[in-house]
Amino acid sequence: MRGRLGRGLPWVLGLGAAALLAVTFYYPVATVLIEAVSVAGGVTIEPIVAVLTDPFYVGWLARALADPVAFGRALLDAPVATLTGSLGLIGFTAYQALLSAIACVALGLPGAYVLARYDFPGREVARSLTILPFVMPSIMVAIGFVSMFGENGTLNRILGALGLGEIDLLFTLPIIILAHAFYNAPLVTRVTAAAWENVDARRIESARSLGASPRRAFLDVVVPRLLPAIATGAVLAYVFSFMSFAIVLALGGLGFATIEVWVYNRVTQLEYASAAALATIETSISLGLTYLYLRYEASQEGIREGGGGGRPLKRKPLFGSLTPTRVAVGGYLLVVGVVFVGPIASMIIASVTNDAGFTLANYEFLLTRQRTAYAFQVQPLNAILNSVFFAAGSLLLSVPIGTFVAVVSTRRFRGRKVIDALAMAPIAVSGVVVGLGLLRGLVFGVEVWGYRITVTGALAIIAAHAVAAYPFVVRNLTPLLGGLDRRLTESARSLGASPARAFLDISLPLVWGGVLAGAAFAVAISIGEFDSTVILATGTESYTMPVAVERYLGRRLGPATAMGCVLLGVTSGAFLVVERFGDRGGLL
Amino acid sequence: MTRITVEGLNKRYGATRALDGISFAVEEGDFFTLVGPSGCGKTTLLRTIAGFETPTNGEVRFDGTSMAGVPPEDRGVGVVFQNYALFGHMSVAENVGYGLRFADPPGGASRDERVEELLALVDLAGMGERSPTELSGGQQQRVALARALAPAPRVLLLDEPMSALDAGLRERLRVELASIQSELGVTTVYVTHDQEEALAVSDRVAVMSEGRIEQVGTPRSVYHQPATRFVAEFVGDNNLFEGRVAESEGGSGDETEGTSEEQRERGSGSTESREMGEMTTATIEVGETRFRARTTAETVGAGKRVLLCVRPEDLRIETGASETRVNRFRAHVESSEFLGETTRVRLDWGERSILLRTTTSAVPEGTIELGFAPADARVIGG
Repeated sequence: MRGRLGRGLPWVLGLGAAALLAVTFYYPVATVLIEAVSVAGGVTIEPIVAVLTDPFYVGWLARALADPVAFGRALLDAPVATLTGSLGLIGFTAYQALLSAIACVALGLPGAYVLARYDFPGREVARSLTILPFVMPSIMVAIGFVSMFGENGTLNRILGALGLGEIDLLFTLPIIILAHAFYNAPLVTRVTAAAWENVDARRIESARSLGASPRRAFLDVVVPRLLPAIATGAVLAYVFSFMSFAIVLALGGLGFATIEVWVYNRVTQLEYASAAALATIETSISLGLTYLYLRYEASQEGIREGGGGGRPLKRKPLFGSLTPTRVAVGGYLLVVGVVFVGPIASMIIASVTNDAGFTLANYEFLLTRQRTAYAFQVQPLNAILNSVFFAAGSLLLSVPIGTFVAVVSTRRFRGRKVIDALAMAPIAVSGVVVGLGLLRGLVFGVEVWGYRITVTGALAIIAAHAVAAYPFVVRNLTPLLGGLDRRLTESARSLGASPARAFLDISLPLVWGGVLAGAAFAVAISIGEFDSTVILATGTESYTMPVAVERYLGRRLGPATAMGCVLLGVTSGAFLVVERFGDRGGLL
Repeated sequence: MTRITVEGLNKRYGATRALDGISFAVEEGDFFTLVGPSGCGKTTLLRTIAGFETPTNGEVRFDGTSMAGVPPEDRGVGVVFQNYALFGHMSVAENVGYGLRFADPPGGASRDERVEELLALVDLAGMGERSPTELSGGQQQRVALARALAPAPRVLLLDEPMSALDAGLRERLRVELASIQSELGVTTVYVTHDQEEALAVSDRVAVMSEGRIEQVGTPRSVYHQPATRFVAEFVGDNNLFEGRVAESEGGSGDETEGTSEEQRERGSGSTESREMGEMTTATIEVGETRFRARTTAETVGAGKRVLLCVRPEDLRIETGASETRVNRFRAHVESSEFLGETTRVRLDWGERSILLRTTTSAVPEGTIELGFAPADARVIGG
């Protein structure tokens, strides 16, 4: 037979992908879990119990467990103060995530309303831009917020110019929550707007013809469609805020440490045992939340199928006679300007100005520092080159793995759900935990048959980036592959093509846009990855742009903003590729 | 040319039996149609023959060779789907030539020559450089046919290839399809839910319901001698009366009862039923009324519950002194639909509803007398 690709190829690819995942994700994370439950060779849950009963971690819960009677009395005397007074590290993490999720919904919902119900020039562009924050490096967002809301930030300059005095939001809870909203509110906007646009106008017309008032029809027809989408957005915002690291570290400092920041802190203090215990607890919570989310998503599938295909609601022009709604929309756009445009614009402006006015000194610094830096100092050009190198490496790993996982998860077979879950677990495990696992598992070395195998920091970083990136390749490809008519590949099969050949000739060209979009995501994720990189790059030459930014951030805001702009450029490039080739409904 | 044998095929999805003990054979070069309502398993059966589905048990054989474990690409099947499944990222010529990447064109032709030949066959010569998306539905359907035929498959499998087309085009294309099929002589299995289409194009028809084959036969025998209640109801309109055999007499029956023109012109069409056994005339009680029907001896033991079927076009309006003396009953006209060539009249006969198809332009009204020839009735064992 001519032109036959080996039948074994899918198996080889599958085993390869599984082996890579095992080495780069499952083994490292497992070492963290094992470290958390083993002391001096024995298995014990003592370290985890120690964390869960320590008031430092669990706040009033520890008091309640230690002395329920006294706690109950305190609760009756002053309920609010008792509960919010001492949240503990874990409690605070959950609390800030909750506030962030609420802020995301509050900031995101009006956006969905404007996008779904109003027509204006640039509406499609605005809609596309809702994906942009998602590919932005978290540390870059942090610089943006420092440039906008910091002591010498744009906001204070404007307030000063207006004679309104200064406010310092840096190292406060509100700025952390605002930054999380910057990240995740567009997600709420995106999923809710999509659901809103899927509402069939004929259903509303049916309700109206049956006697429902416009308000009643909205409550009975539109709201039930929106609620699942809002819930999806809110839960995702909660999970992402729960695991958020760079933003909390840079904008909150240790004063507002979350679990993630504290794990990092323990690692830098070389206290790996307590880091492992805490990481285990965090991973259990985030996996549990993600599991609940996926269950919920699956239960909603049937409902969502009924949508689409109908006639969408007619949009109103955004510009026109001044109505109360239009005024409210205008106010909302002002808030959007401050929260979304402000930080980015401030960062760009800060990078090309100093006290004297316009300057390119910050960019010059990125190049000149290269020549004069001491060995222990961060060399900017090295950071850029490292970032590019790691991005290329993780691209080469994550695209094949992601493509394979997407193919597998669109096939029907027994046990598919288990494989699906195993393959998508990395999205629910924080970067710091993966970094810790890679550090302890591979970089410090593993003993196999008497040989000590160690992996250099650079390879570990590529592995960590690939693990972070490939779920996005999967997420981009799965809807496209799932939407492919199976009769296309069946036609190819009946004409003589082997399964692998049919995939290469037919499926792959038809989902090529998704591969490109996934690849762009992979590059953006790798370039922006901070959480695991900062752990793996500690004390090595393998620092990347985000790590360099963090090191500059405390002392030299100027160069940090300049490098932030380089990151912005890369991210925007990736965004354009995603936008051009990606499936619009595909993300999440 | 290939003979397809299907033996004891079962396909279960959990508790659902998609295919339930299917056995039949398709002779070399035959145009064989699987017809049935949606969900009856006909597409699953076709996909099993193609190798896309693995049967739970049972076997498909091509020329006696078992296809168990043979993947679709090694079976030599050409498949045309309802939506054509054309490769949108390839030109028409690349679509047609795709199968020639894996097999040499028959008769030593070059790949390009074979593609041209096939495009000419389906009347699309010169369209090779177009994109399939630029073509009309009918043209796309023909590209799909050319693509399936290009590697000279042993078996052509067609899954509702006409159902996305409008009525006029559908009729024209099915004539074309039938002529291409008989010209090439390729063994063909055709799936449709449209019983009229099935009767029009096939050499033989298998009527399916709920994963089973109800009847296999020529279009004429399936129409005139339905084997089961399902076939009688699904293929064409029918009047079904539940009754009981009062008595049955052997021999050739009473000549004076009259034979319909239909019966005389059927000729060879009824050979299969003649082979089934000796004919007899039975008296069947439907409620208070007795009807006489010609049928095979073994179906009609006295006292047996049976189903009496009379086609609407076999019912006649009796006016006064008529040739038929038996099988007369009075029914009340409820409504009528003018269908152009014929008029379909719905009548009430006691509790029962009767369909009558008549070519007379005068629409009957009120209570009228109906009758039918014993030879036009069909008795199905209860």
